[in-house]
Amino acid sequence: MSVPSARITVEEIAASRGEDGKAISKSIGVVQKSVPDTGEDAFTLAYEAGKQAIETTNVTPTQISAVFVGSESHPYAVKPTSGMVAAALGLDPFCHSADLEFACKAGTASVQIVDAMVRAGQIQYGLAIGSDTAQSKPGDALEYTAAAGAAAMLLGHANDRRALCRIEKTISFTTDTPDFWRPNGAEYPSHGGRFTGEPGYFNHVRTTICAMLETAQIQPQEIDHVILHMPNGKFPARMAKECGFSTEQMEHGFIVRDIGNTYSACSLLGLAHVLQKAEKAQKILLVSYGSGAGCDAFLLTMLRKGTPLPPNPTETAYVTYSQYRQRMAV
Amino acid sequence: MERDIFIIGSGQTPFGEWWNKGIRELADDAIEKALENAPCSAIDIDMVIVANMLAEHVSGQAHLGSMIASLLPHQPPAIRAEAACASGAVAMHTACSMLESGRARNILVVGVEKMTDADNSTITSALMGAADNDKDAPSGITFPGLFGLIASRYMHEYGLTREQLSCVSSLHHAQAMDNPNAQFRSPAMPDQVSASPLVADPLRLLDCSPISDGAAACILSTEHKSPLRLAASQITTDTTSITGRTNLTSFAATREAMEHALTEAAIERSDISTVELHDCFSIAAVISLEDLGFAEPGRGIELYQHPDPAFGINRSGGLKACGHPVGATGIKQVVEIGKQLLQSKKQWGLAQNFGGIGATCCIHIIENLSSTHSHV
Repeated sequence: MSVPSARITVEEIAASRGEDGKAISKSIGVVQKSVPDTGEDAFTLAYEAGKQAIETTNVTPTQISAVFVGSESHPYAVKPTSGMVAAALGLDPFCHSADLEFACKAGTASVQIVDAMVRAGQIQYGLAIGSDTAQSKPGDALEYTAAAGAAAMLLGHANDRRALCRIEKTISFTTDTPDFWRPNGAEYPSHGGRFTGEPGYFNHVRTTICAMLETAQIQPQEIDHVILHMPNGKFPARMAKECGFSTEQMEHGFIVRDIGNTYSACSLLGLAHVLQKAEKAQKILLVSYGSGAGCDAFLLTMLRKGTPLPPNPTETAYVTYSQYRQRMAV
Repeated sequence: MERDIFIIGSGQTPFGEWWNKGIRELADDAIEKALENAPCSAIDIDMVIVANMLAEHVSGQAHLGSMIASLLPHQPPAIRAEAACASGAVAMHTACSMLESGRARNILVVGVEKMTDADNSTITSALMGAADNDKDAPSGITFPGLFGLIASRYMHEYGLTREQLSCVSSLHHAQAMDNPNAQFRSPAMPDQVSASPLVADPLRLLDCSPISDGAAACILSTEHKSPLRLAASQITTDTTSITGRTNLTSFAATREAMEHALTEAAIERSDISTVELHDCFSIAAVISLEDLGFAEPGRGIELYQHPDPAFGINRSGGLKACGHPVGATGIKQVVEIGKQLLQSKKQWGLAQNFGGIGATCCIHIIENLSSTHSHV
C-alpha cells in the first residue's frame, strides 16, 4: 500500500465554500481524505506500493515479469507508468507491461490480467497496481472525496509457499453508461449528479454481486469479508445492506471514511486491509466499480492467516484548503 | 361552464427519478392509464393538449403537441400549453375552452416533465424562466431565493416561526406514505425539516419541492358522462416579476381565481372537502390556504398544526412529497382530487395550480356526482 501521509478534512473544504462541513461529512460518510505531496503522483505511489509488495514477500524483483498499472491520473497521456515502475523496481526487463484505464476499476482489471497470465503459465510472478492522485474541480461535490493512494498485488501460483490467498473466481460486468467522464485535454472530470447513483454504481454493483453469488454457488452469509468500491461512505453501506451483508463483514475493508476515494486503488486498498486481518480458510468477496461503467468481482480464499504490513512511518499532517489546491495544481 | 364537462379517464405515472424513460415514454404510460377505464377508445380522442415547461432546455425538444399526438394511432390535432408550473392546469383550462366551443368532444390532456436529465444548476436556471428574465434574473436570484424572501417577509409580518413552518412538509410527507405514486414515501418529522440543509434562508431543503420526472393525463369529455364533473376552471395572472408586487405575503391571482371559481361552480368554499394546493415551497402552501380563503391571513399554518380530518389538504403528499414534474403537477392535482372524492364519497374538491410566484393561477373545482350529498 502507499497512501500519502497528508490529509484534508471535509470540514476544511466545506469552510472554504461557506458550507456546513459537519452535515456534509455525515451525509457522505467521509471525514477526511488523503492529499498527495508536491512530489507525489500516480507513478511514485505505484512504485512505493510495488516496492512494499516485493519487500514483504521476499520475491526477487527479476522474477517478476509482468506489471500492469491502472489509473485515471497517469502522469503522461503517452509514456507508460507501468514501464517506469518496472524499471524503478528492477523487474525482469522481459516484462509484460501496460497502463490501464477504466475509471476506479483499472486496478482490479490489472489483477485480472496478471491472474490470467499466471494461470496460463506465461509468467511466474506479476504485479497488479491501482494508483491515483485523483482530480476534482474546485467547488464540485467530488472535491470532498477524490483522494490519492496506491495498492499493489503481487500474484503468483497458488501453490507458492508464500501465497496468502487464492483467487477462486473472477467475473466482470461492462456497459456503456455515461455517469462520469473526462474528455482528452480536460483538466477535471464531469459527472451526471444523481445519475451516478442508481443507474451507475448501484445497478452495476448489485448485478455483479448477484452474478458472483450465483456463479460461485455461495450465500452472502458464507462470506467472511466483503469489500465494495467506496466512492463515499454511503453507497457501499447501502449496497451491502441491500445484498444482505453485515457491517461485520464490511468492517476491515471499509476504509473510505479516513482516506477518501482513492479511485483505482480504492477497492484494492480495502483488500490490502482485509488481507492483514483475515484468518486461514476465510472467504473474501471484492467488487470494484469503474464509471463508464463496469465492475470486477473476485471471490478469494485465505491460504494462511494474514500478517500486518509495516505502518507508514510518516506522521499524518493536515493541510489547509489553500495548501491542498496548491498541491493539486502542480 | 357553458357545457357539462366530465373527467372520463385519468391516470399518472409514479413521480420520481425515471432514468430509463424520456418524455415520450412517460407520457405514454400516463395516457395508457387514462384510457384504461375510459368509456372511449384512443381513436375517439379528437384533440390532445400537452402541458410542459422545460422540454426545450432539458431534452432539446419543442413541438410536443405533435410528438405526443403520435402516441395515438390516428395522430389527432394537438397543441401545447405552457405557464411555468401552472402548465398542467392551464392545459386543462384550454381543454375546457375547446370543449365548450364545440371544437372537440373528447380531449386528452397530458402533462409531462423530464427533469433529471439535466444537472441541478441547469434545472435551477431553467426554472427561473418562470420569473422575469429582465427584472428578476439579473440579480442572480433563484426560485428558492424568491420564496425565501417571501417566507422572510411572512415571518416578519405574522410571527410565523421556523418550527411552525416545518409542520407543512411534515404533514405532506406523512400523507404521501399512503400514495403509491409519491416520490417520497418516508416520514419527515418537523425537527428533521428544521435541521435539513439551508437552501435560501429561512427555507431548508425539506421546505422545497424536488426535481422529478413524471406524467399525468386526463380525458375530458362532453360526449361521455362520468361521476366527476368539472364545475369550474378559472385562470388569473399577476406580474411575473417580484418587483411588481406590493404584497409578498398574499398572491392576488389566487384570491381572484378562487372567487371566480366559486361563482362559476355556484358553491361556497365551506362545501369543499378536499384541496390539492400548490406547495412549490412550504410557505406557498400556507399562503395558498389563506388566499383560497380557508384561513385568515397569518393563520394558514394552523391548518397544518391542527389538521382537520374532514378537510383534506394535499392528501397526495403535495408537490413536496408526491413530487413536482412541473408540467404534470396541475393535471395530477385534478387526477388526485377525482380519486379522493370517489373514495370519500364527498361532493366537492379543488385543485389550485400556480406558476412563478403566483403569476398565473389556475383553479379547478370538481364535483362528484355520485356523492351522497349530490342532488343529481
